[in-house]
Amino acid sequence: MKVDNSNYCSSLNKIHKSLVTLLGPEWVLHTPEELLVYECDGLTLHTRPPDFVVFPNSTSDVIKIVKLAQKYKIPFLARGAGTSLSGGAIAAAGGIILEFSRMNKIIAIDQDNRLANVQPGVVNLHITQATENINLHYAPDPSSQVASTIGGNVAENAGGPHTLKYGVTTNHVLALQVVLPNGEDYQIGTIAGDQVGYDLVGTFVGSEGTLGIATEVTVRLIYSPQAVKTLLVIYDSIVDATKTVSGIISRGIIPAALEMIDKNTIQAIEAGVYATGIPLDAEAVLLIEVDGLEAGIEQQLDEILSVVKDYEAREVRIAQTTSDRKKLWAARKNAFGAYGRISPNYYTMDGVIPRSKLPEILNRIDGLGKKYGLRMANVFHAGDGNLHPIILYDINQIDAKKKVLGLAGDILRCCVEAGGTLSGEHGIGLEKKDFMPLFFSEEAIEVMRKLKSVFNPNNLANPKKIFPMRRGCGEMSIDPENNRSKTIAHEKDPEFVQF
Amino acid sequence: MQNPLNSKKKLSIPSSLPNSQLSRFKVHGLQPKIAASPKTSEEMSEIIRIAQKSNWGVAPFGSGTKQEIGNSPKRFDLALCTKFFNQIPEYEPQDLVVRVESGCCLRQLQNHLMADRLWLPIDPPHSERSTLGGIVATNSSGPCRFGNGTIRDYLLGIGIFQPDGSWTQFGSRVVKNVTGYDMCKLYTGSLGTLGIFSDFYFKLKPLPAYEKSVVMLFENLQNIYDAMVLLSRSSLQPSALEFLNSEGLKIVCRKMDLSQKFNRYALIVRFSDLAKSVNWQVRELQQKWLPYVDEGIELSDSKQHLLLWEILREDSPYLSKKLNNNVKLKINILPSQLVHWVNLLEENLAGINSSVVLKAHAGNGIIQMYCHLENSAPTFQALSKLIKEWRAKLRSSRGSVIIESGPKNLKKIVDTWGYCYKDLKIMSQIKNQLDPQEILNPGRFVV
Repeated sequence: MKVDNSNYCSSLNKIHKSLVTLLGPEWVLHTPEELLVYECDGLTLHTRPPDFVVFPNSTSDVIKIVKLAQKYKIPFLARGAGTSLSGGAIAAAGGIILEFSRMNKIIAIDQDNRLANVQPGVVNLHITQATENINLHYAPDPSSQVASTIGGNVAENAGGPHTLKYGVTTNHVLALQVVLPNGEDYQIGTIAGDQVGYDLVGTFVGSEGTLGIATEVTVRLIYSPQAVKTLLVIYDSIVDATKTVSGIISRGIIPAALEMIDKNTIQAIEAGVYATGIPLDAEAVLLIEVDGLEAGIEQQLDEILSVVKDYEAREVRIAQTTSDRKKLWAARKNAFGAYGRISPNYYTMDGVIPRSKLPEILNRIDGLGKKYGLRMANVFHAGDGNLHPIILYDINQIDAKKKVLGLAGDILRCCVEAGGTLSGEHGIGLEKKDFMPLFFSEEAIEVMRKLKSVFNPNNLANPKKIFPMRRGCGEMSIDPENNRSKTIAHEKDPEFVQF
Repeated sequence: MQNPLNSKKKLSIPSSLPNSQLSRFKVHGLQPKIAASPKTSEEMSEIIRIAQKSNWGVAPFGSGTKQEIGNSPKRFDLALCTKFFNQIPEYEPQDLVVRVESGCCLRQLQNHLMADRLWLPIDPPHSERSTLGGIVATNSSGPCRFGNGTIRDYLLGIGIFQPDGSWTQFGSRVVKNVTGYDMCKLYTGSLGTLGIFSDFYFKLKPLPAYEKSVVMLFENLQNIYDAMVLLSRSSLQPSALEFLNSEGLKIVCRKMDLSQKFNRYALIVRFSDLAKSVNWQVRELQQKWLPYVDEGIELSDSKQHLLLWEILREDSPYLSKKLNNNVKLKINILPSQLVHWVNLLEENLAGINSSVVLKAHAGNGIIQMYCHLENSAPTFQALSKLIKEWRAKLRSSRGSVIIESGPKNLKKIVDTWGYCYKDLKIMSQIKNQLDPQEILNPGRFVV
């Protein structure tokens, strides 16, 4: 919806005044310097500052802000810690960011029903920290869990290493309080038996903020395992590592986690504060974890070791203490951050392929990296075929962004051609929306658009995410030269909102 | 999945069935004007297009085991049978993934997977005949949902014909996927009101290495309550946890040829894991529950074990074949409220029928009530009043009472679903958007 430029500033002023009246001046950011912090999220290649950042403190605040946004037809989106790697928390069309750091309370923990009721700004790991004294924990563990918030996890259907055994966010969210883009609030889902009617919670989780905003989340907790065994298996060949992965799964063993780290990543980790003594000449390592009852843990470990024996591992290290185990996981979960030691910039991708195609696809990705003259690294959830190819680059080099985006596109095509999908856990966001037609037919995209129109008919909630531009409505491109999205002739496309 | 409509074959005439077969496709006593069993996706698409142009009311049919569920259709012109969509076109045991067509029976699929010691970890009722399409459409589940989850947790990808006849696919064969909206979740449990399934990708699990079950008998409900609290605070990991009242226990013992004192309650616990883990858990449970249990029976014989879980899975053992007016209610409650609700239901129903069976997926908060009613208006009125009272009591926890099967005269005076929550408005809007002419199972669901 286009607003005449001559009214632009006057409308912004009115909105600012209303927001300040609503929340108080200390909870409304509006100067360029304040807004700069929010111009991107974990997807640093794309930037666009919002017009405002506000800090609601209750569902009632959220309702009022959303209604205000509707009144002035200004886009809005929710943001937790801003760790999204697909641009989900970037204000791609400007507008209001609702930042949830004030709504960070664990409201209730129900031990007998194994539930926790939390506000969306609660940090993922804090749930487990609050429940570990009663031997319960929250299973979905994205690598960002020390920072990422439950609201963001819900929006992206976050995964993590232990989702191989325990499932992803959607398997652990039972009920939500949501504010829809029209400002109405609803409770959806149930903690009492089965939901009757359509599974609105399942539909909402992973909808990337385009169907509304969750203001309360009820999650399932699970009993913490009695025993855990963590192994680091070191390989001289990445092929042997990938064959081990297939070997484990095909023997019907489901470990709690099964992660792979390649040589470039090993070198980055070992150069940093999370070094664990992995040999720098190792081609790959597997981080494998089994958990369960004490009575059966040794047998589980033996079964894993018997598979490992078949595939030429150089060395197997079994964590002897909780501290050893934590060190191994710290190395894995901080791998992305470690790339800063070996490259000025990096771009994290997220694709999924059938596990059995791992060796072939890793080879192809390696070849693509060479074709574009860019170094690659890999750290990923091998057990469920969820790859995170990392493109290492220097933004100051000529055509750097163009090359990176070109390589990224080819990698996504490669994943889809192999029978996979565009995203395993980072979401589509801004990053991959133009690739949606690679995976979905027009008819399927149209069905999803219809679903979206139920919740978000005028596209003010997190616009320019997930859906590609409609054909014939002009092109939107990311201008690699000045990091800004620019649009050309698209006013009739509902995916475009210009304020 | 290939789009079946890309085939260059000339579309054949839709496979309609002779009038003599229409009575096989009754829904709540209503017979369709036409029944068709399309043999190909092109036929299916063509029939749906015709139905849309003609504004027919369409009911998808698998094997019909769950057509009793829901309201009577507002319009019923066409029964669309998925009988010929019964193949298993893709199976990757090394990836623990299978693609199966919607008309394939669960039993057929499980038999196919067993050779590789894999299974789709669900055990809904009517396992011998129910189709995957019907199971997904009703989100049907059984006792093993406690340790394994429901079909919702295993559905990776879906092929579905839209109400305009176009074929669409959502999701795929990979186990993690956040590409677009999670339409698999929306379609699961949608009771055939949003589209007609063609096929599914499911993720699989290895069959358990070893299993054992214990039947624990309790004198009173307070002991059951205390036992369940202990269990929920322990590291024990049952794969199933079922509750029976004394009427239910009577039936199970009779079918298993076990002679037991009645007037007792039962918790039946199943453990599925490595043998060492299972045996440890059985001993641990027996020790923990010693102060509360009157008697415990351990089942190690595999035939007995299979029989027990078949009886617990199915509805038919608890419904009288000789008597009319059988009622099955599904009552969704907070799991920790099980004992409170069993108490309440037994008290409330005492005046209507003294042999009500109460069975529950105890750890999931799902009570199944079975009884037969006297064929009298006052009896129907009395039960209808109770159902409404229970629904009111469940409002604060967003629970529900559903009439899964019951006589017409009961359903005339009390709504099958009784869904009264505000989000019904969103569900209506979804239905209006995705099936604007309301051709798919019109009127049968909450919207």
